[in-house]
Amino acid sequence: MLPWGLALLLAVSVLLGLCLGSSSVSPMEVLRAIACGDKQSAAYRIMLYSRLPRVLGAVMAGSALAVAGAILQAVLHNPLASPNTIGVNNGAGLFVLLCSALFPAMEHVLPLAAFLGALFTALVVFALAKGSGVSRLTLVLAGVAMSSVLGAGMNCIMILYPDAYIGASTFLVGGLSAVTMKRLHFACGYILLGLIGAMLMRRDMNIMALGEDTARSLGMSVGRTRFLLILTAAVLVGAAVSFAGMVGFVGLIVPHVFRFLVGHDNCRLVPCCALGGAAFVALCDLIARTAFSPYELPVGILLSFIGGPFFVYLIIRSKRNQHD
Amino acid sequence: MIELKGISFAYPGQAQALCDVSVRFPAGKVTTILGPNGSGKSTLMKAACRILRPSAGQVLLDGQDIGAMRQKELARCVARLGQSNQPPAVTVRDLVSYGRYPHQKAMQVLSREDERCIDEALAQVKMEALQDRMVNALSGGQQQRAYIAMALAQDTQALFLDEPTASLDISVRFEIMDLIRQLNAAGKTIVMVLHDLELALQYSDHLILLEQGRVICTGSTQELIASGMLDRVFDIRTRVIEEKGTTFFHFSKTS
Repeated sequence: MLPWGLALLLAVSVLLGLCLGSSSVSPMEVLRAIACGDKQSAAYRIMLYSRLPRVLGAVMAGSALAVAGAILQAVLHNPLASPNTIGVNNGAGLFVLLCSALFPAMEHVLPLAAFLGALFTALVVFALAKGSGVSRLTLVLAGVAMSSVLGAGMNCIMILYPDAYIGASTFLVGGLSAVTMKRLHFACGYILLGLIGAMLMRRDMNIMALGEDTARSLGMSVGRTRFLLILTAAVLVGAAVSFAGMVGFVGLIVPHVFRFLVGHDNCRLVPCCALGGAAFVALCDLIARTAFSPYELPVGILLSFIGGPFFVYLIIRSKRNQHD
Repeated sequence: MIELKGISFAYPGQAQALCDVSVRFPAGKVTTILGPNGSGKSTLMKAACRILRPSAGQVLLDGQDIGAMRQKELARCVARLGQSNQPPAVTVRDLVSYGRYPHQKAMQVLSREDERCIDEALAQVKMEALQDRMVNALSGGQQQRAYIAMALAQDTQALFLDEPTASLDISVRFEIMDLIRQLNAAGKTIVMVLHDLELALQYSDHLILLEQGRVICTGSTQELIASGMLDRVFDIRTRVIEEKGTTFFHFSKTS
């Protein structure tokens, strides 16, 4: 029942995202603009060049980041893990800026570069945490250390190559104002691949969540499955970061909310995260660009305002559970 | 029959946890591995189930080297429950269904045969009425039963249990041990690691005593007590008390 409700919420979020903004367009005008394709009409141009890429970008990024968060939490047995808390976002971001600076004409390889950055960071953080006993906070601390180094790298690139990435300041906080259909086109294949991969490995995520030894006893090739899951998460994060920048906390908030609503079974959780994450970021972006009209906030700022306190709450709850 | 031949293992940067261990776990019997803390009991069990890869030696399952078996193939022959599982926030039925993992192909949904095995496993541990409850909301004894049902759903010939009665009340310990005995009576080969000497001596057909990663003695309860090795390794004195057809064991510290 919940997935249908989420699909409806997503449809409403998309429609609201298309209709509302600095100039409001009625739902009928939206439909007419898309159906007739009248290139001269203002509604068509608002749709094609501004609202549609932005809403689609929010849907794709929200879905990808939420599912990536659910995967990382299952693989690392850590409720505090998410693409931005363990530095995977920053790894993807660094490689995007590096690629933009060194190969400015090769916009189509940005998702691939971001994927490689995300994969590299995820594997390094996992290796660091495993070497030191994989406590929940150790993993987050390893992520913080990696984020600092990668963040410094990003700032270096922006100083050395100030024109490397158009809208670099929005990129660093995470925003959808510079999203174009072209960039979405490059990323959508990766996101589709990542979401299909996550859906295929939902049962493996359940087994993995029981702990490595139990998973092995149940017949899982733990090393291979873990690598495939980290690879899937990196594909999703890389693709999202390549066009939306460092949007944070979606992968932390959304899986936790749905774990509370549908339980810990990843067979139910992953589809809910995909739909719910998309609706959540679409709604947050709508609020970020309309609440302070005529000014627009990058959606990453609004998500940080929500996600920061939520992260602190999770740390306190995690510590309390350890004491219990 | 599971046979370990010349098994050695050391954790990185530590002394040998197992030194040239050769033992047999007879088919259809309850075998218990005993020994003081750090003697290598759990390590031996992990090596026997290929959770750890020994640095030397081999494990034979009915004559076949398990080192050459695929992970799922091995999990269809041997099920193992480890110590201190963090109870997951899933229903008992969902947890038991994970036991069918080695029988499933990628993306395969639960078949009728899977559902039948899950129902059977739940019935064997008498958890049918609790199958829709969350595992993390159950008592310790009920959680252990749910995990045993998961291992039973694997439908294996042997079941390895690492400290199945740890941190359970005394009455629940006897309940779990009675359940293990029933499973053995139904044909399952059981291998356990136990800290509780009394339960081990009472419920086992075959005992393996370890000290500092080496096998000190193997045999039945009577043989182990008669050898005097149990007393020497644990630095205790064991008294066997026969009362109205029941055997009790009393342990006291040697002065």
